[in-house]
Amino acid sequence: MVARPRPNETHTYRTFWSDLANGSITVQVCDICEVPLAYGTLICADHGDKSISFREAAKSAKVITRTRIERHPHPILDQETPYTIGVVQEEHYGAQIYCRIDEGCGLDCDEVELTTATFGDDVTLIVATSKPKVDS
Amino acid sequence: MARAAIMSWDLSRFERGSAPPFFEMVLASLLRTLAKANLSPSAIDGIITIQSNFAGPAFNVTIAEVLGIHPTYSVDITNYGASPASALWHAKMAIESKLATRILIVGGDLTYQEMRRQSQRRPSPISILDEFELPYGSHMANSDYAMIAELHRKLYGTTDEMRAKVVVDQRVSALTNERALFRDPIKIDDVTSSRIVSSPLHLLECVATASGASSLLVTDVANADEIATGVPISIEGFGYHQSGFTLANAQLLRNGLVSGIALAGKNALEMAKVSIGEVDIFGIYDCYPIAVMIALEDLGVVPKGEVGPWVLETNLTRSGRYPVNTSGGQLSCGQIGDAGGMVNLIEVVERLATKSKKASGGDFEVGLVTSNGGPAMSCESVVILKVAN
Ligand SMILES: [Zn+2]
Repeated sequence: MVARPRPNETHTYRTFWSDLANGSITVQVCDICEVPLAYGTLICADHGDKSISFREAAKSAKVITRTRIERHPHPILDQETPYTIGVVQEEHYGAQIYCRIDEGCGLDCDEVELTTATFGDDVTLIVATSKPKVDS
Repeated sequence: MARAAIMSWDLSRFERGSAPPFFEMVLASLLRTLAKANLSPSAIDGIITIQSNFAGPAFNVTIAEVLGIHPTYSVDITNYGASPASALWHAKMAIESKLATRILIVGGDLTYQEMRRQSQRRPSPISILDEFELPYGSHMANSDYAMIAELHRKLYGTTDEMRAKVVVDQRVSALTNERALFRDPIKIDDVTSSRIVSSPLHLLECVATASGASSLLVTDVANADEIATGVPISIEGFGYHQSGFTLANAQLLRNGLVSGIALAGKNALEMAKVSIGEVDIFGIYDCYPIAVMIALEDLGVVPKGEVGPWVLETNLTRSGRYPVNTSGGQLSCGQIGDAGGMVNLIEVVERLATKSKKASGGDFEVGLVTSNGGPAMSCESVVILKVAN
């Protein structure tokens, strides 16, 4: 049986993924230079690994680029097609975030709001939407 | 003082379907490269492999055992697709520091379907991409290069037709290459009307994976009379730059799409004491046409943002002033994993070594080769080659 690809949830990012599952999007920032670090980077090259903290991301972001996937070789992801993924720039720290972009955004909206959504196999991911998310 | 030069080379047949057993296919390529140089395996004291998904770690140690040799220099180059150009420079350093006298560079891989047929072992995952991109439904290189192409459109107005022109010119070159997998003539319209794989990329813009093997022999140029299969080719300059592995961390998303090729190319040209205008022939890594276009900008052939209109009016075949990928490139020949760039590299070596003529008269004398690694122009190698004199 083929499963939907899910994060490794390595030790380093276990909290990040559980926060995300609870609707909280965090970005890694160096406390000294206030520069955002991409997920996967474990050290500020100028200030070392002790200076990094996860901070709540801003709600607003701008789309840098995107692509709509029409088919996917993975059978579960293929069932989700067509879908759009992209890289957005989070407004407060300037972090570049890889995410899903809601199909409702169309292919030319640049101003988005960062939210989360849960996909198959209980995988919660960052999703950029064009309208504020209404909590139920 | 030793001076390294390329003496012999080989590309196997590439296969989209079933391929010969992997190590037999690689061995056959090595033996052809050695036979052209009248050498037996025992003459080889250096092995440089290009990372192979199928062979796995320490491909270099395995290959030495396959050949039955006992090298004094051996390394596996693991810069993903940027490995072929990097491998050449490692060979040069090893020859010139006298760690070895005759080095074989080896690259090869199988398509994923063929890997599963030849072995039960699954290819190993790439953890950062696995964790932060694949769950989103990344299509790996397809979707990363698609987003690079989309950003080039957004910033510079580069259209589908402009990208398609690169594919069409390379296909013209493939018409006379019997090794090419795709040899039907195509028009811009054929590219732009092929199905969208990952917007804005069309099917005919995406390289096809293939199974195959490739090899090069590098020795001291002093041995040229003894073994060169054409004119020996010297390795004059090299540059490498990793500008971000994952797309979210790629510098090119925030600097107007300047890739690592800009710095790698600048360093390589300076080291070789060659200006970009002196380059006669280009082997530009072509997993997608947008990769070729960004490379031409970053090398300074055309200013950033202007490559789209430029390719529409420029002949990129051997009969033009800027011959690029004159065997048809990977887009016509197929991509053998991270050794894919051997197609671009060996074509330039072959044109220089066989004294092919430029459109303007005279021989091709200076070549530039790029290799792109990682899913998003993550790591880049540039090497400058010259006819040795
Ligand atoms: Zn810092």
